[in-house]
Amino acid sequence: MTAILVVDDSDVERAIYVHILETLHLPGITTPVAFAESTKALAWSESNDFDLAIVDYNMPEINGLEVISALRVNPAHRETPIVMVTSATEHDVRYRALELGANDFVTKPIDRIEFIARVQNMLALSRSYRKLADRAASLSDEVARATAGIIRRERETVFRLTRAAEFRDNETGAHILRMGLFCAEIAVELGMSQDECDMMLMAAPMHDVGKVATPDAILLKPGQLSPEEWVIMRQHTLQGYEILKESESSLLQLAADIALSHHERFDGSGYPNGLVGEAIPLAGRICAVSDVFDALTSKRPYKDAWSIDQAVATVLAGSAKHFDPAVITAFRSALPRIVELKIRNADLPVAM
Amino acid sequence: VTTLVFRESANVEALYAFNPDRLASLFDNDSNAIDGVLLVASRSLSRAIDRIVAPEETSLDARENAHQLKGAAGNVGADELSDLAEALELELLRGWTSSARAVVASLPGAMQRFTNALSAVDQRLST
Repeated sequence: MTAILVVDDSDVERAIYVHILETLHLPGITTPVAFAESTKALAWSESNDFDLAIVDYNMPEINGLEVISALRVNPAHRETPIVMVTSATEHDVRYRALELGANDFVTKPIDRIEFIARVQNMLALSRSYRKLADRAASLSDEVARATAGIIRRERETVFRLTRAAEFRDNETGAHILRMGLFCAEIAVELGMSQDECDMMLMAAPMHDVGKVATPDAILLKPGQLSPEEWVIMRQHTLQGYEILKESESSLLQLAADIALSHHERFDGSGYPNGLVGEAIPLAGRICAVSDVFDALTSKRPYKDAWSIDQAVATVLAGSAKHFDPAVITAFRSALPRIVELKIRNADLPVAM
Repeated sequence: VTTLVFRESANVEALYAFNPDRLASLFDNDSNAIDGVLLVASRSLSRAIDRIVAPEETSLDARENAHQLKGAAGNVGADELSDLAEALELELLRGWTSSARAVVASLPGAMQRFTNALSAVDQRLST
């Protein structure tokens, strides 16, 4: 149930409007709410809903045009129909009222039939606005639900793709998880937005997905790789990029950049393209630090886990050579949280 | 259903002071509504005239009050008062001229004729 707001300083005219409106017995409309003073009407409108405002032009203090302006500023009343009451000769006032957002006019002296017809037209307009607003809200909810579903499925796909790569590698599931967590913490310190940090969290675990194309003889070789084998091994960056590139998903686009660039080095000595400095995508520069730090502090079949201090010293020593100095600064700032995440997400046997 | 009629055959002057058809049409012959609005109108029109004739009234304020009087009187069928108020509103654009003062001087008489006409109006059952 909503109301019709009447604003008119004339006792006679207010009484006329209220009486006619009351006798209409409009469905869903409560008794008209009438004010002689514009300021009181505007104060009431701040916290009350209404389907139609009938506003006189000629009022002391705040005139009808100013009332319309004030109502239209309030988002709750931006679409609410407003009828202005004027005399037939006030053409300039009518033009100004239209500019300010009035929907219709009634002319004094009031004609009952015309007044009722205009009120009913405006109430029909109000109902249409409400239906549209309800539909828009409902569509917006549906879009939000569908989008959330797509994001969930996209994350699941990424997770399963990442797990597929894990099966072919010595890396553990926990390493994949930690890569995302470390990268997100560094991204926070670099001032990236919440959305960008979330994207890093989800995309970083796919950095080595190209290893699915690396032959077992090389990928699982217990000893040192020959120079020829290294050439093949390094192709996992290009193969990961090939798998992930040209997706419509911004997450997979980022993952493709990471797969391609996480072995680039800041001084240009990395692979596959020997990019230098900021020519390397920022996500790749972040992943390079996270990957090396986690590899150093993790136990492998061919080595023990380094201590945190040893690993940090090695990473810091790589600043401006292997790693971007800005990313190293962010890594240092995030280090307490990164260490905590390392402990909390220690290696577990890979679930089959 | 009721209709508003003069108790005695009204002369042109009385009809000009108060045209009962106006409210009958506006309120669809609802006698209670007509009574209520006429009560409000009697007080409201008197107050408006008092404000206009007040010696301290500026021409701008008087014009505002004349505008309101025109609308309110027109809505209840007080055609003479409404016409005088409209004439005053226009005249006051030039300030407190002798013509404006003449119109103002005629307002209380028109109000009295409106009141008299109201007293002469009866509501009769119509079959």
